[in-house]
Amino acid sequence: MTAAAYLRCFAGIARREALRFVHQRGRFLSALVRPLVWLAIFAAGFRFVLGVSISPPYETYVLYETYIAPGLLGMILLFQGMQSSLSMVYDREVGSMRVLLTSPLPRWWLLFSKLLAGVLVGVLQCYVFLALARFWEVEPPALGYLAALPALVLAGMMLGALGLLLSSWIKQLENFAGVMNFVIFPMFFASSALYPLWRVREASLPLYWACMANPFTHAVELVRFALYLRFDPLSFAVVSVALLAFGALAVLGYDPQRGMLARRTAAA
Amino acid sequence: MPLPLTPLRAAALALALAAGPARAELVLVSNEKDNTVTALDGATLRVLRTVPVGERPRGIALSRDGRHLYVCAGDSDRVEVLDLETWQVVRHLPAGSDPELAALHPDGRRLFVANEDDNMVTVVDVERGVVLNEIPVGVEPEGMGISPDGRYVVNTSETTNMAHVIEADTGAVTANVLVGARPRAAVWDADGKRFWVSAEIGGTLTVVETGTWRAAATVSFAVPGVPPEAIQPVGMALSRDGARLFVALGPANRVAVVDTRSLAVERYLLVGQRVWNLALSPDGSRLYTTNGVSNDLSVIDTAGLRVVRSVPVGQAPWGVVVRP
Amino acid sequence: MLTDALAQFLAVKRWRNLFLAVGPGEGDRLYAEAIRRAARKFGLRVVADKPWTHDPGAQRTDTGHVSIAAEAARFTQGAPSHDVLVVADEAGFWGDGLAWRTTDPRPVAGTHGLTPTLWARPHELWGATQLQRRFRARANRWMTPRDHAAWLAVRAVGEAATRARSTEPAAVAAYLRGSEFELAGFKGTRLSFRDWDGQLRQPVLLAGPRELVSVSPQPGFQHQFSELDTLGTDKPETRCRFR
Repeated sequence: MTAAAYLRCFAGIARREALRFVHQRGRFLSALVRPLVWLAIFAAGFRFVLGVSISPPYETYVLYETYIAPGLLGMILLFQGMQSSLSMVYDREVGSMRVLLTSPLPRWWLLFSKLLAGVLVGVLQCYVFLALARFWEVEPPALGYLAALPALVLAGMMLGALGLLLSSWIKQLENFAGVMNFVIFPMFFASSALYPLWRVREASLPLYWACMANPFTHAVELVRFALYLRFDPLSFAVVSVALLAFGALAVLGYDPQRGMLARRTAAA
Repeated sequence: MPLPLTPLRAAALALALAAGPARAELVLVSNEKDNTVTALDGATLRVLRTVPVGERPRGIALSRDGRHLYVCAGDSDRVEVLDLETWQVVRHLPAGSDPELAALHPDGRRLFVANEDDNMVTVVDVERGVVLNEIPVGVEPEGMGISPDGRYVVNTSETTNMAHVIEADTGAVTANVLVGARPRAAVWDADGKRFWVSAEIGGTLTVVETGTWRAAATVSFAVPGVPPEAIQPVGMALSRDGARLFVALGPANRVAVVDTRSLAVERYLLVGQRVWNLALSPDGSRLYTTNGVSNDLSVIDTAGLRVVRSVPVGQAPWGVVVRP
Repeated sequence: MLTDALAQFLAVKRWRNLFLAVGPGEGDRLYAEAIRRAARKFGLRVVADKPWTHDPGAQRTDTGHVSIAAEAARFTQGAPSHDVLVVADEAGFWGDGLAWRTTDPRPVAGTHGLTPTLWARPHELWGATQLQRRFRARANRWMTPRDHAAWLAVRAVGEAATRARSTEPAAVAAYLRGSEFELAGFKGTRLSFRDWDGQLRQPVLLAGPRELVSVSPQPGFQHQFSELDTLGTDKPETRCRFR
């Protein structure tokens, strides 16, 4: 198998993902409107008008809009990761996933391509959001936009891998509501996306530890630090380890011989 | 733990501070609760030293040659002269009881001191160290603004709610102008045609015309989401070109940027808690703010109108001046 | 207004369960009623509500401390689980005797211990040091809440007269009641009179004998018009009518 074949395979999957995204304008809009609604409405109504006190990576007091921007980037990536997983379930149901998995390329490459393609779409949404967020005076340093790219990709991969892992478990499309309830909401709310962790700590110590154990917190922090030209090794380590773990489990999950897929097929 | 991405970060800092040439200016801050003066390097914002001074230091003023700092040590009932080369307090000036704020006359000799406790403005000769005059004013005198030509001194009294216009040479009170409740600071336009008074409790600025001594206009503030009671204008500083007035809004944690011609508020900049006094860098590119509750100093890029950084200083930082 | 200030603070601390000790006086009864009302308003529970009947007598002489200690322990014994003991003893006969002597280790608040008050000796915020000093220099004693109220009243008339530029009582009174009126009272915010009952809206200090603990309204209690109106009888609930 040549490198060209690998690349062709990736290009095919990426194109398919991009096309799917472009064709569903509604999806693009909703993916963008969701974080903007939070920025415009939630942040305005929320009581942090007197500034969020200095916590790294910020070097001065920030408005709440500035604080939640990285959290909303995380939200975009989280939803994109879960949407991708939904599309996997869909693909599997109509059979195109099965066709894909029969390709001669190794399965991990197929899943990786699928994952990366989804993440690139998510990252694109992130930059559109960042551009619009400037209207709310969310103005990170110019180089921060560049520095955030690897962080966004890594965080997106981790969340996407989680999505893949979940999709190998989900039996039917309808179960996406369950994913919303049991994965997206708890991950999003029990994290540093909406409120600084010192604030959570003041309110409840167990909740603080839950937030610290949540990989989504670290995905958000990784992006937050990168956006302000800093590197947070702890977040990087947690996100990387989580990516490897979720990725490995997803590869196992999609193994027609051993994984859940086999069991499900056998059951059917 | 967060590590700095050194080259990138340096580049960002350079970008942020690129508005002015990186000249080594000295930022001096009085810390009311610590009884110290903090000296920072304006370029790096590193604390160079912390110097012990008298009790409850608030108002500070530079000597004309920039060699000495006059420090109002209210609870020690004196104005101390801090040598900025040896970093020693070299002299005390007699300045009446509880000096809160001082302004140096353009002649470089007469220091006008507000005595908060006994309702006086004391005029001190800084060279001979003697009291030249004591001028009775309203209750709790505080703000002190000297007209650019040196002819008038405006003093605000917090509890009388007035700005007292005093002839600098005779000490005679020319006019008493009723302004907003609890007036704090007084700042003159560069052409001397009017001056501004901030009113902490009233939440407004009053613009007073020279000559007629009439309150010609008032400026009000509103920050979405911030209760109006929290908007308490205190320290003020004019931009170098005089087109903008920066106003510290106390517990609203913001500095308002006022267009001095239209009197419209252009923008509110978020700084530390209970922002108190302001000082412009000599080249006009940066504005330093003392934040009394969060114990730090914020730096504003005056061209981009953005807050660049906040760095910790002592307890309850109050006054700030910048030496080139 | 005072008890609302305390209740807000307890709500923020999440000390929700109150043990209310009520003295025999008429003032105590009214204070206790105000505490119960404030508790309802801010979501606190009065889990125990007991009248204090013991006459401490010679509490401070000889072995008097033994009898008050025994009485306080008896009084609080077997009470339902509570976070704070709230005392209503306006005359100050026995309230001081409860702190440190309760069966369970619980803080004391109300007329004793952590006290909501309009002025307090340890208050030094917002330039209050100046007023405290001026008062002491003139009166040779510390300013009490009543002194401060009197000072505020005189100052309010002075303020209205200067702003209205008149000494006509009618003009001064009209300005006092008007929406323009604002008073600086060393409380960190502008004070004014409520147009529905004429009460001065002002922050309430929560202080111990030597320490200012907090100032209400507590951050987070929001109001459509003025956060100060989260304390006391608000416009929609007032039964006061000017005639």
